[in-house]
Order: sequence, then C-alpha cells, then structure tokens
Amino acid sequence: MLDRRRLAALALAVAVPLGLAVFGGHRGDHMVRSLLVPGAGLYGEAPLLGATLTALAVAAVGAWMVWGFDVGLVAVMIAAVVLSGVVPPAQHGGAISQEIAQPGPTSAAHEFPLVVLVVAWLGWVRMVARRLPPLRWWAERRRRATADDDLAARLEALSTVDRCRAATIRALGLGTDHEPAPDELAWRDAITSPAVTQRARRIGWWCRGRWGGDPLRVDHAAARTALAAWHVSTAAARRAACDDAARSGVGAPPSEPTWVRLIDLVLFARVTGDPDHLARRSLGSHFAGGHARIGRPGGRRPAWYWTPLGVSGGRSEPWEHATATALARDAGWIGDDDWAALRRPVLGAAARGTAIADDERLIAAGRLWLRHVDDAEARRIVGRPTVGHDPLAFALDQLATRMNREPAA
Amino acid sequence: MTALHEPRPATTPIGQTGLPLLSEAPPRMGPVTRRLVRRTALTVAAIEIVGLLLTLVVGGDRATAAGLSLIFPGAGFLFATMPELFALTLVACAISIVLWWAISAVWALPLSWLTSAAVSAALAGGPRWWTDADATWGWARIVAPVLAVVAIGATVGSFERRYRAKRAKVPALNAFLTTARPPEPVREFRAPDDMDAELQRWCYELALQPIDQFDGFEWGEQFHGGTCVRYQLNYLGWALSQYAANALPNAPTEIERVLRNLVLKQTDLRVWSYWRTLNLLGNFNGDPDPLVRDNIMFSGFTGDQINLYEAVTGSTHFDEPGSLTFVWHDGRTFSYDHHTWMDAVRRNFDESESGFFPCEPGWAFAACNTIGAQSLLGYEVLHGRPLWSEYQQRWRDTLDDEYLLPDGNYANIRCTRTGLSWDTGETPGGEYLMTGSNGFVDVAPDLADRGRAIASRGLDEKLAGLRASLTHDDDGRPHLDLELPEDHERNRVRRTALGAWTKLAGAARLMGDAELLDACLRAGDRQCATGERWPERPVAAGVQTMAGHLINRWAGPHNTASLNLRGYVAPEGPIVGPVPWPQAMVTVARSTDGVTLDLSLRAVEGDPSDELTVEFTNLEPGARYRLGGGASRGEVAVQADANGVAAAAVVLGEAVGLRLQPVNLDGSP
Repeated sequence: MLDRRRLAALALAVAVPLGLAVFGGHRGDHMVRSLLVPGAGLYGEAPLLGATLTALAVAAVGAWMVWGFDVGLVAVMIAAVVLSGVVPPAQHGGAISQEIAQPGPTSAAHEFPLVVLVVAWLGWVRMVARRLPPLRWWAERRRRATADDDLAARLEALSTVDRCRAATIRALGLGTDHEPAPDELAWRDAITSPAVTQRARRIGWWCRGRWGGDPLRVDHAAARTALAAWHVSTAAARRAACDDAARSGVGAPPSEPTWVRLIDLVLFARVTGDPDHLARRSLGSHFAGGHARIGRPGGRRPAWYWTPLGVSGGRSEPWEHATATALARDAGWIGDDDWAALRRPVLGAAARGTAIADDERLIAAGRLWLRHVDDAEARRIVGRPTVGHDPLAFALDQLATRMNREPAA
Repeated sequence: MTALHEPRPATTPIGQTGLPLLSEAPPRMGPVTRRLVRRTALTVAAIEIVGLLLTLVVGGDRATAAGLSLIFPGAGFLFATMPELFALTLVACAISIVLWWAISAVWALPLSWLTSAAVSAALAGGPRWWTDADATWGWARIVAPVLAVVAIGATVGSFERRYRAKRAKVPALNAFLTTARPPEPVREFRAPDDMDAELQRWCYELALQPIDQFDGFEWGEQFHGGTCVRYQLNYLGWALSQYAANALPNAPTEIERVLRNLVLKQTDLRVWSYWRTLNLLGNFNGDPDPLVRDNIMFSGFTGDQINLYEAVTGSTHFDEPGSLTFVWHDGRTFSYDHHTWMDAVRRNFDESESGFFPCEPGWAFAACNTIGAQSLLGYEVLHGRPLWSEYQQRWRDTLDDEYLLPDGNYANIRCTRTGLSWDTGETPGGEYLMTGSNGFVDVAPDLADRGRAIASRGLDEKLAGLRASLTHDDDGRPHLDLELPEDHERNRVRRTALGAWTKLAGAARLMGDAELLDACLRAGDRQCATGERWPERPVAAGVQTMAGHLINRWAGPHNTASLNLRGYVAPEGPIVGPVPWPQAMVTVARSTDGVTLDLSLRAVEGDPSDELTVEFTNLEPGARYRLGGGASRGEVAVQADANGVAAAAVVLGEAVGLRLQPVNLDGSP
C-alpha cells in the first residue's frame, strides 16, 4: 500500500512539472517555478505577490509540521501555481525572454525542499538563540521569577503537548502500584484541562474539518497517552488509540494528523506495553536514523514519521532523543548505541546548567540513560545539576530516580 | 619536563639575627627580565627607525604621516591636520593598555599604533574637516620625535628614579635587619563566640547548597577582581580549612563535606569558563582546558585549596581519577584529579621562561606564583612526590632575581612578553614585602621573617595609641570603643568597614598582641554585624571581603602555612559523629590532651529544645565518660562499648561549652 502511494507521489511529482513545462508553454514555466518554490513564478512580474506567497508557504510548512495543517499548504501551493499561470504575460521579450527560454529546471529541482529547510533552519535558530547570552539571561531571569511557582502554575506555563508528555512521564515515574503522591492532583488537572481538548478540537476542525464528537477520537497521541497513563480515559478510548497505532503502522497514533513523533511513539508504546511490537520494530527501521549516525557523537534519531508516504525525517531535539531512547532501552527495544550519540550533548547540558528547560530535560533524560551504561564520569557530571523547575524535567528526574532504584532491564 | 634548574651558590648575606640582608648593589632587573626588556626596547627602536626613515628619507605626505605615527602613535594625524584623530589615537592607546592588563590583549597597543600609521597615511592628502585637502602641519615633524623622546624618557626616568630611591634605602634597612627580630604572631586558639558561630553557619549555608547553586556569591566579571567566584571559593576554602584544623579537628564529617563542595564548585562552568576567552585573546588558543596552560590564579590557588582540604580532613576524595572534571559547553571533558592537577601546575612552572608562569596570558604575578609554589609544597607534604623540592631553587631564584626590588619589596606583576611591570592599583605601589596566602611562611620562611621584620617597623608605635584606649568589659574581655571608616570593597559593589578591621586585626596578630587582636575582632563585629541570617549576610560585607576576614580571624593555632607544612594528622581523642545539617552544626570539637573533648553544638534550623543523639567514636573501649559543663543543666553518663563507640543525647540549646571526659580522670563516679 505504502509502496503504491510512494510510486504515485513520485509519478505525480515528476508528471505535473513535466506536463506543465512541456504543454503549458511560457505560463507553464512560471507555474513550474511556483510548484518548486511557491511564489517564485511571480518574482519577475509581481514580486510582492510572489514574496508574499513564498512567505505564506514557509508559514504553511511550519503549520503543517507543527499541527498537521496540510490543507493550508496545499491551498498555498495551488494558489501560487494558478496565480503564476494567470498573472505573467504570455511571452517576455529581449534578454529576459532568452533567460526564461532556457530555464534551469535542474537547478530549481531542490528548491521546494529548500522551503522545508528554511522552516527547519528557523527551528534551529530558535534553539541556538535561546542559548545566546541575552536570551539565556532572560531565561534565567524568568526562571528566577517563577522559582516559587507551584507545580500547577509551572505546568500551566508548558505547551499543551509538553504538559501531556510530562504527565505521562510522571505517571511512569509513579508506577502502577504507587503510594498516592502529593502532586497527583496537579498532574491530573493538567491533562484534563479544557486546553487539551480545545487544542485537539481546533486541529481537528482546521486540518480535517471534524465537527462535534470526541476531539481526541483520532490522532493526538500525547494527550491520549497521558489520559491512558493516568487511567482517565475509558477502556474503549484506549482500544481506539491502539487501533490508531496499528493503522499508523509504527506503533502509536499520530501526534497531529499524519505526523507520528518519536517521543510520543515511545511514550505510547511504554504506556500500552507495545503488544504488537510495532514500536520496537519502527525504532529499528523508520526511527533508526542510521546506526552509523546513532553510534557517533551528534547523531540523532528522526523526529517524525509522515504516515501518508511512510517516510521519516527531521532531527529529534536532544532531550526528546534521549528520553525516547532511554525509555526504549529500558524496555529492551534497543541497545546502547544511542548513548554514544547522546553522551556529549548530555554532558554539555549538565555543564551549562538548568537555566534553559531543554537543558534541564536533557540532563534528566541523561539520568535515565545512566541506568544502562557503565559511565562513571558521566554519572558524576550528570548527577550534579539540580533538576526540578521545568515540570517535564522534574517528571523525567523522578522517573530516573525510580528506575535507578530498580534493577536494570 | 625541562631540565632541572641549576641551583646557584647562596650569596645572600645574613644578619646577626639570621635575617637575610638586602644587596647593597642590586641589579636593575633580573636576567630574564633584562632580555625581555631589551627585546622590547629593540622592537620600539626598530619602529622608531622605520618611522624616521619614512619621514626623512622616503618623504611625501603619506610616508611622512605614516612615519610620524610610527615615531609617536597618531602623530601622523597632526601632520595631516587632523588633531581629533591624534586625540582618538591617544585614547585608543590608553584603552589598549587597560585591555592589555585586563584581558591579556597584548596585541591591542601595537594594533592601535600600527593602525594609526596606516590610517594617517591613507588620509594624508584626503579631505579634511578643518583645513584644505592638501594642507599639512610641518611642525609635526618636530613634535612627534619630541613626544617620543619625552614618553620614553619619562618611562625610563620613572623606573630609574624608583630604583635609585629604593636602593638608597638599603643601608638603613640592612642596619635594621642585622639586629632585628621579627615579632612572633598570635597563634593561640581563640575560642569561637556567637559571632564566629554566625559566620560559620553562613559559610556552611554557602557551601552546602547544591553544587550547581551559588546563592549568596557575588557574580560579575570573572577575569580579575572582587567578583571572581573562584577567589571567593578559594578564600572560603582557606578560611574554613583553618577553622577545621583549629576548632573542629574532632568533628570531621560536616566540615569535610563543606570543604569538598567548595572545591567541586570550582569545576562549575560558570566559574572557570572565563579562561577560554582569555586564552583566545591572549594566546590565540581556543582550548578551554583551564589547567593546560597559564591560569595559575586558578590552578595554583585551587591546588592549594585541595591540599588544605586533604590536610585537614585526611580525605583522598580528589585523588580519585576524574574527581575534578571540567565539562565545556559542548560536552568536551577535561578530566583531572589531585595528582594530575598538580602535575599540570608543575609542568607550567617547568615550561615557563622566567620560572614563574602567567595568570592571565602574558602576566605573571608574584602572589599567584607564590600560591602556586604553596600548592606544590602542600602536595609534596601530603603525597611525597618531590614536585616542590625539585623546583624550589628555581622558584626562589626567580623571586630573588626577577621580582625582588632593592628595598625588599617584590613586584606584583611582570609582563612575560615585554618584561615590563607597573602599578596596576591592586596593591599599594604595585609591590609587597610578603605575598601568597601566608606571606612566604611555608615556601620561603627566611623571606617571610625579613618581610615581617620590615613590615612591622614602627607598627608597634602606631598600635600603641590603640592599646592605650583599650578597656575591659564586665566579662574581662578587651573592649575597643572605635568605629573605622567604610571603604569600597574591591568589587566596588558596596562600602564596608570590615576590610579596615581585618587589616587592623592583622596588624595586631602580626605584632603578637592577642588582647588587641581580640578587641579588634569584637569591635569589628559590633560595627559590621547585621544581625541577619542566611540568605542575608551576617556581616555588612561581600563574600570575598568576609572570607578574607575569616582567614585572619580563624588563623590560630594553625594557619594555611602550618597546615601546608604539617599535612594531615589524624585527630586524637574522642571523635564526634555526624550531626544532622541543617538542624544543627558542631562549632567546636577539639581534644587538647587526646582524652577529653571540648564540644559545642548549635541549632541552625532546629529548635533549641531539640534533643540530638550524638555519636562518639575513638573512645577508650569500655571506659565510662561524662558529658556536661557549659550551658548544660546536668551531666550525662556515656559508656563506651568494646569498639570505643558511644552515644549521648544532648539538648541543642544547652550544647555550648560541653566537655566529654573519662570519669576516672578526676575521681568522680
């Protein structure tokens, strides 16, 4: 099925530009350009419109990758292609005509992926910027300002998805037969808050036109996993989630429409026990990231799996990579190779301290890993920072504490 | 490792009382310094000659402007009728000199100088703000060489005047030193009082917070000065090591953790990451490893701190491989332990041209190299490896040949690239008679005696007025009715009188006047105590000032020098087991006779009515003891088991001034 889809997608990707280029005349050239870089076909005739469409495409790619808002991207693409065919004159003259008469389709062949790269780059810039002195200073100041906030307030400050992930990890940390913990109510409140269903409802409406019914009936792996981990969801809802996981083919429901995220995959599989071994298999295939890379410092596992074509890509953020693989390692689904890739980032985070939430999470996730690797130096270094401000890091730290008390898997 | 330095025959004349005398014909500079200064002078001369050649031989507006700027920085701008750029060049040169010292930017001054030559050449003949485009001021051809001669003459003249003035003092100083006996400092144990307990508590709070937390420390720039956290940790470590040896030798548990944490905090990235910047700017080397090259103000100081930790606790925690690991931002690790740390210090000494190695790149401080020497000595005493004894002669020769000034003072700094020194304002006159954390007492005791003798000249008379104003309180303790003026701390953050009191108490200690010392400490407490507790400061002063105060306050009977020379000696007599922090802390646990134990405990966060079970070990097996005295309302019988272990319940509010003693000592049942 997937192979057929991939073949069809490839055929479409080749046929449409080719058809436009061959049969569309000069307008077709412009449409091909906009197909490759949305808006590029308008740069010569209507540069403002072209640039606007390109910017819209970048935003649409972002919305697609974050919320699964693929219809928005398709709409921008279609608009760009159609406008490129409508707005420019039928033929240019003079030197420009010469230039366009010999367009360089091969040189533009990688341009649409460039739009995706721009989005990825923006994410990287965001990550790096947070470590630059002014923003780091601001983060430290903000952290100090919220140091006395209670857990509920700090959970409230998290994004809905991270809040759900944190709650799942906290539930894993508490275990099945735990004594009542004083913070349980805050965690339960966090995942049953209206914000969780509101996000799911909005995404369902915007991305899939879903009206009414349970907004969590499909997709939204993070929220459904958290509800299952805290035994808030019904048995039927849990079964439905498992059915979704089977349909996705990788062992977890999509986090957002068409996107299965590595960390949500592993959390879901840990909560459900991965009865069909789908998650275990996908960690060795779709989310493998190439063992050569994983075994080397800096290697990362893919961040996502796109269900329509069954392709994976992106680079997991270090803390997500460390968390997901530590939990997978703990379940015996993978070996120790990931530690070689994670060791330096984890030690670096421990050195930088806990001012930034991502570092704090990575430190705590590193502590999860240390249960399985014989690394006295790392244990000394990673054991030093005080983790506890960011709720997700706190949950990871509590889980690590509990796991380190128990014999390794 | 380079070949060992050839020791030279001892030629220093000795006075009747054994003090080393000063040379009657001291050289202006030592051999290494002379070579460096000669190289610097030749470089400057070469620049001047090139400038003259450009001006006189090549000619033309551009060459003349460039040449004049080489003769005197920016003078080419005067020729090109741009006095504003001349002024700007002078400002740039002044800033360059500050940066040279502050961040080891040795290239800043040459860069400013050469840039002024290049820019003045480029702008000569170009448009002007004030005059016609082709206008020149010919008189600049005269003014530039005159300015150069004046500047060089003033520099050389200043050095020569200072040298001659100091040399002129030598006969009188030698006459004094021939018969002088340095005063014997106060070394007796001063029983800790309430203020000592407050200060100890505050130190514990600082040290016992999680390793990655630095609440209470002062943060600012980490290159120089009073906001460097590394120095705050060093000073606290030194002060508390003394307290551990003097007041708490028989209660090692908590103080060991306190001292260990202070060392471990040195490996926090925020404390040592300054080095990469300095290494990059001063050595053009991006290696962040803080021990591999230079940086003696970190490696030497903290090496000394680690030695003292081991000397007072006996713990070999930092002997474990990797126990002192630095981790860079990107996760690179630089793994050290006590042994490899000291090897790094020694290797730096060996590889240094003059025998002293730099703190910041290009700047070798006598004080830091003395503390570096202390660290080698302390390590050798503890571990028996001859890192110090093999190097001692070369270190001493460098101190005597390169840093000694004719009047017995030592230059504070020396540029290892130019051989130049100047007064940076860190110490009066840019020099001192004694230095290191204990004034040469452990690494060069004869120099310590000489320095103390010179420093104490006339001091007795100065202190006489203070002594005369001493009165006594009802409890018989000396009282000084005096308030000292507040002054800025080194970090300029706040004003305090504590620094002045520390100096006065230091003078009293130096002169061996225990009563005046006690009076000064108590008067300082009265003026500076805030009555606050953690996280506020108990004394109106910053961490570095307060820790410096504690080094003097807690320096008896053991100070850093005697501990460095002594190494670890296991305590005799009863040992107090762990006391739960932060409920309580031990403020005194010492046995003067190896049998009885003087013990004080105080509540920290606990209530004075709390009852604690205190464990004692190292008792006479099977012997009966009694615990009482001080504030306690009664005595507790303590029965040691066959292993010499016993436990006793004490009420925190009654646990000051207790004594544990065998019942058969005084015949009581």
